[in-house]
Amino acid sequence: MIPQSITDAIELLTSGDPYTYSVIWLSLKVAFFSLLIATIIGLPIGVILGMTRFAGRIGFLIIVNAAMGLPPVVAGLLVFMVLRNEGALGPLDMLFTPGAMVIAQVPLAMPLIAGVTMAAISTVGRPIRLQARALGASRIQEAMMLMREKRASLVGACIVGFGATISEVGAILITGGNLLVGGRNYTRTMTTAIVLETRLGNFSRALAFALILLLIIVFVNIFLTRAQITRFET
Amino acid sequence: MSEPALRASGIRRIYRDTMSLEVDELSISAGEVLCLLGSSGAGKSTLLRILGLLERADGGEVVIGGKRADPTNLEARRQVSAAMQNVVMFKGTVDDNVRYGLKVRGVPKRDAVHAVTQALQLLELENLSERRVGGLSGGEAQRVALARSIAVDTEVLLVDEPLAQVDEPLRERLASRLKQHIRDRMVATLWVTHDRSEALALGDRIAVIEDGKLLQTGIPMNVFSRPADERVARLVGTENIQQGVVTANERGLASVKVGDTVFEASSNVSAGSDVLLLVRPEEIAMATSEPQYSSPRNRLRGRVSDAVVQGALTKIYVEAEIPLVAVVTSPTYRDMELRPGTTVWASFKATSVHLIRRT
Repeated sequence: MIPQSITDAIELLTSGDPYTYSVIWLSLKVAFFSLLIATIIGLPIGVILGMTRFAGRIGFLIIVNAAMGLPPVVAGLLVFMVLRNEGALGPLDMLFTPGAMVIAQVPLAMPLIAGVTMAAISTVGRPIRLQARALGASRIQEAMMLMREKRASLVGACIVGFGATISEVGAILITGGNLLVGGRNYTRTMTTAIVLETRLGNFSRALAFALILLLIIVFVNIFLTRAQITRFET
Repeated sequence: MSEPALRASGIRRIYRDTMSLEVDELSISAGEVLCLLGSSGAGKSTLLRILGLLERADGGEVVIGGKRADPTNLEARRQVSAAMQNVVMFKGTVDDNVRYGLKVRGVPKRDAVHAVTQALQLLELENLSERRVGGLSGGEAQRVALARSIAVDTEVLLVDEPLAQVDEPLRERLASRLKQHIRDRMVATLWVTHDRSEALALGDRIAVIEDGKLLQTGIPMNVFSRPADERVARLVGTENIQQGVVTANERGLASVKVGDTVFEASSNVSAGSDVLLLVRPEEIAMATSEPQYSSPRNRLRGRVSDAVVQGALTKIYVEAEIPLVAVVTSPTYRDMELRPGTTVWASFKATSVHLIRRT
């Protein structure tokens, strides 16, 4: 079956099948925007928690660490409750849209990015921070310097976040619904497609999507890891 | 009298319920180098961090350019630059590091290039500007750290053992150049060191710190020849320290009895006072035969117990009525053959003796 699925995967990729490409494209789009928003929120949180000491910091650390283990279906359920017609954001009419899928994935990726960033920033020694201040750096400039010093780790945080979003299924299944509308893909990603094809007994097609997903993950990670090592570690 | 560029008063730092730093008054004028001399753990680096507005003191105030300054005041912090004892480099090239302080101040690129070039030239680092900092030696990294602090051209410069890892003769050359630069730019400089020869060579004034307290501040020759107490004396290298009693004082010429030996000292300390008698090693003249026509009032016959060559100078340890340490040039040591066991006459003037009243 696995050799057959490899053949199917190659055929799916080379045949120019619009359905397959739309599923891949949507997967990447949802993962990218989830990662982008999670990074915009998680990175500053990680930097603040890593470089400052304030009352209640321990509480924030516990929240971030606990949120790293947030079950995707729980995140999906909570976002579903907020976005449904009766929910707080019901008037936005976002449920079962790619936007809802992005919103559902942000709380899954954001704690990972914040946690890895915090761990990296807190390893920067006091002397280097003092030296930046001694040369006239403001708090924000000091934070920027710390991020620059730890940029390889921050790329690592993004790799972790990308892994979490591209491979996630529970939250986007609940909030996206795995829909084809009028024969066109609307909220189906590779992970939800794998779930569907497996349920339908199309194991070969499910395995083909799984292989494509794995290939994308490997390629993106090769690119990011190379950047991490060659550009940011020196 | 004009306001000093940097003034600190009543500085207190408490560490684990104990007073770890207590500086009542310290000031540095524009263009002046104040060398802060003290042994390891004396509180030098803590004081530097407080003066550099990098740490808040538990009491007292720091005034920069006539205005009370605070670590939260970015404008005040940018009037000071500091090179810390633990040299840390930011990732990137030497040029990136030297440019950092200018970049955070938003200095226009053309001016920044000029300032970086000047700082690199001053520290003889022009050839290393594009080198990544990971490949620098300890001495090179220290020079980069110093260049980084100088490039920003602040009113106050604080440097903590800035040339400790730089080898001679470059160290001496750079120290001399830096002092000239500080005078030309009228930078008030605190130069932290534990090296008394560096303090003597560079300082317009010296402040001696020990156990978190400033023990004495003054021009180098005064601090070195007239230490305020025994701790200062030991820190500035006065190795001949003896307890004695002033037996008489006639018109500023005191007779001091140390054991069975009487020394003469130029001092106003009155008869009956318990004193410490201090003589710097370099004030003692050595001879291998008894001098017939010598002016020094104090003369001791003894035997060389040890001789330690320290580059251009040699330290001679003499067993006499009291143990003495003298310093001669190394050629003199060779010419006079001051080997252990040699009989010598050690003599020093009454004006070379400093008396400190014991309390």
